[in-house]
Amino acid sequence: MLALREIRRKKVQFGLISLILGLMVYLLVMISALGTGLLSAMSGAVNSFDADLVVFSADSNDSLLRSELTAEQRDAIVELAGADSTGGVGYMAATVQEDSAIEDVALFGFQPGSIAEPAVRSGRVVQDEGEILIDRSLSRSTDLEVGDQVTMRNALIDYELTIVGEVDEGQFLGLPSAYVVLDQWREMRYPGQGGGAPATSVLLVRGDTGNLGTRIEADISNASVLSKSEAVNAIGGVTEQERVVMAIEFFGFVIGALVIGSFFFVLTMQRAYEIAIFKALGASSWYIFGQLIRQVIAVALVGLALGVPLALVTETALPSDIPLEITGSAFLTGGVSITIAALLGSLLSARQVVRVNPVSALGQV
Amino acid sequence: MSPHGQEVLAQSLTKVFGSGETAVEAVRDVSLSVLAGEFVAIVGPSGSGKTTLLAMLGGLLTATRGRVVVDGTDISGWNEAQRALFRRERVGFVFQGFNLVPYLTGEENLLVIPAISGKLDGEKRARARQLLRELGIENRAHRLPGELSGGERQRIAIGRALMNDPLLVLVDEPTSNLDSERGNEVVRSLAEEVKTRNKIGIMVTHDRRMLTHVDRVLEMADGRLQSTEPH
Repeated sequence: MLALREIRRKKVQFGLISLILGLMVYLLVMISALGTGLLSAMSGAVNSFDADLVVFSADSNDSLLRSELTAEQRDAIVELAGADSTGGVGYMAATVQEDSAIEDVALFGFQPGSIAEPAVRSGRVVQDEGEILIDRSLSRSTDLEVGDQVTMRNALIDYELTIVGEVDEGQFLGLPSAYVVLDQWREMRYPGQGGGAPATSVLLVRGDTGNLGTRIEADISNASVLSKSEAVNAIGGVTEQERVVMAIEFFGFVIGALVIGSFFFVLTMQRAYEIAIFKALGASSWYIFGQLIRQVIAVALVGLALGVPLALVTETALPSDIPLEITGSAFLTGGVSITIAALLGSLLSARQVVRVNPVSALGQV
Repeated sequence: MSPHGQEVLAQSLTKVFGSGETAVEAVRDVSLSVLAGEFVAIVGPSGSGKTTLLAMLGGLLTATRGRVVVDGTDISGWNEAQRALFRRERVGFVFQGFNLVPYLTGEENLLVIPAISGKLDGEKRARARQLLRELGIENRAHRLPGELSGGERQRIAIGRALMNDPLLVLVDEPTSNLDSERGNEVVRSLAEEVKTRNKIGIMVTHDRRMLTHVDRVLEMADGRLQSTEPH
């Protein structure tokens, strides 16, 4: 009763604390969302692979940029894992040109119908050479849409392609992804090499992975098997980015705890005389601290109610080229961590509460 | 318990603040006994130790030497948690300057006592309303202390002291913020409450005009009880 009554009667004081908490929630949600967005821009397309394992050529040092699997390697892996559970993926950096506009893209090749086929959100999947799927991030940042003709250039050869669909697979190394059939990719990536060209960059494997990875590495020469999450972390810079974002979130959490803790510490010091009255009337330190915790939770809830919508509004207001992805985990990071920070911060006040001597309610003795 | 009924008993109470050369003996070897239904005043100049004595009798301070026995129970060796429970259940304080919680209405200030005991229910709310009615401030019950007059605040403080139906009603300088007419009215109503409800009333005051309402006057000087004069 007492804790919430005090909040109701001291609206300005607690309103300001709630506002600051809301801004802290907003800050942490935005940091988390920017971190997720940045990570997605680096590795979203790989993270979207519908696979448990990713097989690289061992001499590529597990890099999608350098990995090249021969047709023999691919066939041997397919034999071990089953055709239905595998899919080759080719990768190359390329440009898409429409009229005078040129955009860099991360171009992937895949075999239609295999597990490497991306999910199409509008239009249809590519069936043959001369067709391309573009990621939503590309259509949002350009005027490109399904039905448009684009030109892709590699090794001074132009390839005319028709956009037949749009996908939402994310980006790779900060570039929007685009998808063509594997034969098209081989032709563009290794022009003039014909049957001697590598079959794919990597091979995706799905299904029972008990000791499949070990068997592939043991039976097939120059093959390196990573789980999908390991493959994501193997992308250059991703692990470092994750660490930086985590460090920023951690400092935000610590600063949040200190800011909120300081507020409640000052508030507790200001209320020392009231606390002495409560203690003189028979309230225990635990009771008073319990009331403080209730206030912290109430203020944190109001802070969440302010910070979360603010983050959502910001997401819609920001330009699409800013890598911002507000996810459930962003809200958890922002909301839960600030609530925990507030509770931890309020522990600073616990000692103050215990130290208040009830006899001070009598004034000077 | 006394053969006459409930009582509060102080035996050779001494309170020393500080230690070594800076030690101050605020109360020295004080013994007294107050029975239920009695309203006793402790008078004396500032610094004579009367508020310290009141704090020891109410379990707010522990004695350096001696003991306090309330209704047959020695509270001298109790820890803070035990003394907090004792204050919650057996003591009603009327503080100097009223000490009402400023963000709670008059009625809510009375309900603080059951709230901190975890016993806030309809019965307690009814009791608070009844006390406010008896003290003549029912129509001001939903005002904050800042909106009440000095007399009204003091009556709220008396109501709060009686809320837990305590054995001991301890009153510290109840008239310090009131004019003499209001002060007189407050002390008279306190004396009435103590007698009607058979409480043990002990009031610390420096205002000798209020002594007409008490049964006995205990005079303190330099931490010692000087005399006990029946009134």
